[in-house]
Amino acid sequence: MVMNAGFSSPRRIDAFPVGLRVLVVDDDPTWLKILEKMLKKCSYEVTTCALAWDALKLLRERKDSFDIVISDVNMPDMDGFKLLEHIGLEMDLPVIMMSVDGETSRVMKGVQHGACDYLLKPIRMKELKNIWQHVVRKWKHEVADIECFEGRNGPDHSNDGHYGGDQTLLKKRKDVDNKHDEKDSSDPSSTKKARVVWTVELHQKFVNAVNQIGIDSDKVGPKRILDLMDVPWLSRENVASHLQKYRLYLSRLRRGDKPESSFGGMKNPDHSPKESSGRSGLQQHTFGQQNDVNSNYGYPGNQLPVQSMDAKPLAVNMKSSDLLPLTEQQRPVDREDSVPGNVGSPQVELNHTFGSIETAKNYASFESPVAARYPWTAEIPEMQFETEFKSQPNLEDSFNHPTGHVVQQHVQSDLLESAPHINRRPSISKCNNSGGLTDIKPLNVKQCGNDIGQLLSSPEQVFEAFHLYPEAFGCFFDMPLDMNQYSSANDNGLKEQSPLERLIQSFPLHSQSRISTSPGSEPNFNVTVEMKNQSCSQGNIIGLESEQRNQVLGCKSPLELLDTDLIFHRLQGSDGPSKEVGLDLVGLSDSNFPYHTNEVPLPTYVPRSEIDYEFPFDWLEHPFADQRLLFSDLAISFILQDEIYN
Amino acid sequence: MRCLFKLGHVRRWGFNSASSRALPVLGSPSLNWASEYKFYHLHAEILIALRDGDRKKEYLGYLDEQFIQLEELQDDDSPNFVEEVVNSYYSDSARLIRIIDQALEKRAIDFDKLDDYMHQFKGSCSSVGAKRVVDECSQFREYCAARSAEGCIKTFEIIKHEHALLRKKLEAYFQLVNSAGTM
Repeated sequence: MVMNAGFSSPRRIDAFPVGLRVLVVDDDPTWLKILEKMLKKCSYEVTTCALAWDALKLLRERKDSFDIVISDVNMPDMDGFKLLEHIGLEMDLPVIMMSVDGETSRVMKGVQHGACDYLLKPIRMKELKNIWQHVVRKWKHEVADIECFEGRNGPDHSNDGHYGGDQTLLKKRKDVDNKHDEKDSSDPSSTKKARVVWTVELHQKFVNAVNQIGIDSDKVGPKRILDLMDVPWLSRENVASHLQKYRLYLSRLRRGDKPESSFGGMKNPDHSPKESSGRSGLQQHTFGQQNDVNSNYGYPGNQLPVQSMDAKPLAVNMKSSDLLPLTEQQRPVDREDSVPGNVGSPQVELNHTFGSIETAKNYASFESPVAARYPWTAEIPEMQFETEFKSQPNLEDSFNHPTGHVVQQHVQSDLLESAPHINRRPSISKCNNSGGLTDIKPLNVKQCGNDIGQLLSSPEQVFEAFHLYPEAFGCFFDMPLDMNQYSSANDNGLKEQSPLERLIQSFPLHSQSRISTSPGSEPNFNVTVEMKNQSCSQGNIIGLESEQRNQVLGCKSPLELLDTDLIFHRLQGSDGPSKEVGLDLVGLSDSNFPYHTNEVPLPTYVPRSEIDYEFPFDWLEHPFADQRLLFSDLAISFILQDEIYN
Repeated sequence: MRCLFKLGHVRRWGFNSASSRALPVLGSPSLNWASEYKFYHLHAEILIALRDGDRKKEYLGYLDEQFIQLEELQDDDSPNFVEEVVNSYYSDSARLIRIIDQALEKRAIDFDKLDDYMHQFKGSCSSVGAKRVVDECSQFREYCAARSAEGCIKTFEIIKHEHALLRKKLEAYFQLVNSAGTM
């Protein structure tokens, strides 16, 4: 994915919904004029189009330039519903239909074609004032927003422009969420309680049920699947959303992987039954992987995209089972406790988020983004990783939004896991005490806006955060540069390296097993390197310095690094090896990392004890009892931390 | 005629928007009482009693709340917004009227197409709040559905008449507004 920076105008996220970028399509010039004026009065940025084809062309050219589309139903050159379909599939933007005709059948048609809303003309100002809700809703539901990664120009980030856009989006989301959080002052966990974590096992059940009915048959429906799955706590809606994502995923598979399409698919995915908010996608991925290979990369789909991810079960030793906290789903682990156990849950969440990231990241560059994304396909998500990286431009943002990258998740999670402390992000550091993951939470809460924030409150939440803000995660990996922006966890202190970078760095590329087994041996996580390779397309995905990268050593594949198992090991504080491993992460070059001993860039493997814990992170202090810190969790924490600090 | 005293109008006439006074300030040297009165009169005439919007048959005015909305949209950035919109409406609607006329003149009337055109026209009229015209358009569409050529033709005549009438009123209205200027 190229981060192309030429967006029309980055969205101002400082005062959402101010600056919401709206595209109005209407063949009636009078209405176009009126709507333009009305929207301007709402402080939105308006672009008008009299022809549907022009609008579509405009949208295709400047994918990230708009947040929402308002279109008339009756247009001479193209049916409004058709345009609606196109936009939904290609760009996945919320579309509002309008017409002077309010007949139920028409409105129904609009809904069926995917319109977020249907307004009747004459349209009042007050109706337009609230259209931003559709944008936010979409964010929330999107597992991965490819657009985020498409490199929006970030207005205020010094990192590469690629991420700018994403960052903007992420920030936007974050801001919005934050605002919502503040406004609602709702209990973060309350809204997210129902999240379902689609673990590998659960997904497998789902797939079995679907196959039993016959995926293409007419009979396949959420209720039937639910009945067949026989999971009491699962709701029909969960299954429905997961089914939708799964279908999307399958269609993507059939279609081949086009970066966008795949992405798009992900977005509205059928796959990943929404676990609770689309996180499932992530999780599934993660789980998929885990199950499949025990390979661990904690990310099901996302395997460290870097290179060929040979899904090797990296460090399977790491207790793959541990790694899959996600699979455990919903671990109600309470991230806040600084217990490593919590870490486990965050991981789950991470996975989730990663999942979303993955989806988002369907970058073509990866071979099979889809595969990556859907762990359940037991594919190695190699690509995912790449894609994610690509999308990372917004790493910065993604950081804040854990939901960002799926792929990143992999990496991230690994990183995160391994370096809870690494979380530069403030949240992470804060969470540190809780074994890192909990820290993540705080970050999210603040930065990712409500969603993330809420997520953070519990492991599931973190995952949710990932899910919701894939960009955040994506960015995490993509942008090492961004990471740099994140100051150290202590307080935006990590400047030198983005948390991700650090994480990446800390993960030695070499085989996981190596890492896991010989903690002290290879410190260098070539995660970054790998990532770099993979994400090269992205530009600097990980802004790791080449040396660092090299340091990362010759990891065979980023996968290794990212292998959550690996991280797992690392995270396992108390365990000897794992601890060390964890330290590795910590040892990410950047001093920002909590435990980093300023060994830049390459995180040499430093035994925990040697690590200089700058961060208030208690991670190191508190070995992950649960040792289930998935990489994704780490990533999340990383991201979160960043956010918190940012 | 509460609609008359919407903020926008009050503002235009230099009234203190916070003031509860609805009538022109009589006796004020800067006000052209006569023209203000004319304005109000015309405005009242062309606007409907919004509160009684439900009672379709009882509306007196030619315009509805949409027109008020347009006036409220007018601001310093676009000081002639309402007039611009109305002009845009009239040029676009003239085109549609021509098309519908042509379609009605055909021996074999294509009602679906006619309905389509009328749908567009109706949408256009709703943009300025031309209530009477819009209502007639709905009537026209019903005749289209009933495949009644006669009904369509007759209704369309009424539409054209209302359309022209409103245009005259609006022209007079804008003239007043522009001449009276801002106080």
